[in-house]
Amino acid sequence: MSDLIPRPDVSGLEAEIDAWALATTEDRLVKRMNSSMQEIQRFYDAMLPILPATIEYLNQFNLSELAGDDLTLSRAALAMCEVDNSVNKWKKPILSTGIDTLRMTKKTGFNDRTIL
Amino acid sequence: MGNVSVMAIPPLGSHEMGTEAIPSDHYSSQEHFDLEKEYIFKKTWLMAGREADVSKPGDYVTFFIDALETSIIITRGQDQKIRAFYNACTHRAAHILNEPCGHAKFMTCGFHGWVFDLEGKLADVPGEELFGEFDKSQLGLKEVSVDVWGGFIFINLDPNPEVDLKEYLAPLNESFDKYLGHKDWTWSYGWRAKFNANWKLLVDAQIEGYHVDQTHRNTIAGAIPGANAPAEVYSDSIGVPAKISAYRPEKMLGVQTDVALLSAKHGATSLYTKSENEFTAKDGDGVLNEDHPLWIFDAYLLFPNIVLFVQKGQILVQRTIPVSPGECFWEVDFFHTGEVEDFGQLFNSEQGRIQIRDVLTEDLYTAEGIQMNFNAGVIKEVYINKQEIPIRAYYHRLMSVIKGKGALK
Repeated sequence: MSDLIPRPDVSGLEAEIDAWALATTEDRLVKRMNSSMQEIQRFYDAMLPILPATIEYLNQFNLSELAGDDLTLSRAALAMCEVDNSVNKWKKPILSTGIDTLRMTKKTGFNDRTIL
Repeated sequence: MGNVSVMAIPPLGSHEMGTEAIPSDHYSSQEHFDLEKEYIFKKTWLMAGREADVSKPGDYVTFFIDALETSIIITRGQDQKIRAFYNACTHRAAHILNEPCGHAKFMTCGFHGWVFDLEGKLADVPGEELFGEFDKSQLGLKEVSVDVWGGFIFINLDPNPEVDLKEYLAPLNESFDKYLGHKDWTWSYGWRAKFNANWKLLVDAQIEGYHVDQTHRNTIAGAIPGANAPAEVYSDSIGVPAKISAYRPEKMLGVQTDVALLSAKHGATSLYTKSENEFTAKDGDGVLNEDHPLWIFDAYLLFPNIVLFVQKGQILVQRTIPVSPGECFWEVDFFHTGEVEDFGQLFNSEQGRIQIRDVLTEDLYTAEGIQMNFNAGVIKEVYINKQEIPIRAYYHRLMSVIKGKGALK
């Protein structure tokens, strides 16, 4: 891959990135729900300064080509979408004025009728 | 002057349908529920699938109406015609197709192997000689009324629907049919859940803007203030009692986070952040309120169980399917144009998806508590203000169909 935009320096952030770079939205949701606010805040604070550069860096590749450390970095960046409300709106890991999000089962198509 | 008229947001609603309290027993009574099954779910047009999911002959989807214990097969024949059938083998009544979607040249019952062609005719019976008097031509699948609008397949269990789908959905005219039916729309994602609540309560939660400031105080209040969510009723419509709309405030209030603002650079998936890039939308004339700089979406109540959100570049469909007076399935589905091609778009999609997911958890939060209070008889009537007029229009449509024993006009 020819990376014209340089990869952001993530030295010192590897532990946070590895902890949150889970493969699916659902995995990251469960991670957020099972984390303390301190853990969430620590990840957010570590990732936010490099998030703009990370998006710009990853954006220059085809999605299907993301692999290895770049795939890990992309998942950690997506985890920022998961923790955003906890940090900036709720100030706690789980929204207390909504249903349990895990009750919303992910569908695979319009006519999916997963047995609940 | 010009700017003032462009920025004006429609009035919040009206008292044109009265101001009296509405009884609550239609949410909890078994007797009323039985009437709904008979006169609504067996008589009205029900959204059952997407035409793109049966694009080729042999493609099929199945649709289930839990309260009626009725499963429907929708398939496209070799003649390109879409047909719907009861999912019931005419031999000994087994379900023939059990997957939500798929492809089959013939529909073969897994019980004893009776085979039906895509037109529903009984094509083959293993060991036919084992039966006595037998006329295969009389044992085709039982057909169900079906039609397509806006790329959505609707079925009607009434063999002779009182009105056709087009008349049913007026005032949503051919512009909507064309826009929503555009081939570029593809299903993106969705969620499904079971609720201990009447199926109508989850419709109610989406068709008024009065709740926004309080229900969504921890998420989007400020991005779509309640005062910017006007309501409108269609008194003459058969199947579209009302709509609500949403407009941004001139100055975004509430928290616009760094993550949301980064997301907004790469797309418009989130309803709650003003995007730097607008979606492109084809054939939106007469559908999208693009002249208004603050307009976000219109949400139409399609009687009896759909809320259809229409905006530039995104369609959102909420459906509820009744199970019992106090139980329903709820589902929501998103359609977009264009594939996610780069990480910026993926980030935008993820951020928008999570934001709406969290907002939906708030919309769904109140229904089960309300249902308990209705079931317990603690609350026997509810009060509806003029901004909540779609709830009143919905109730009037419901009661008029029930009292008319299924007559829609």
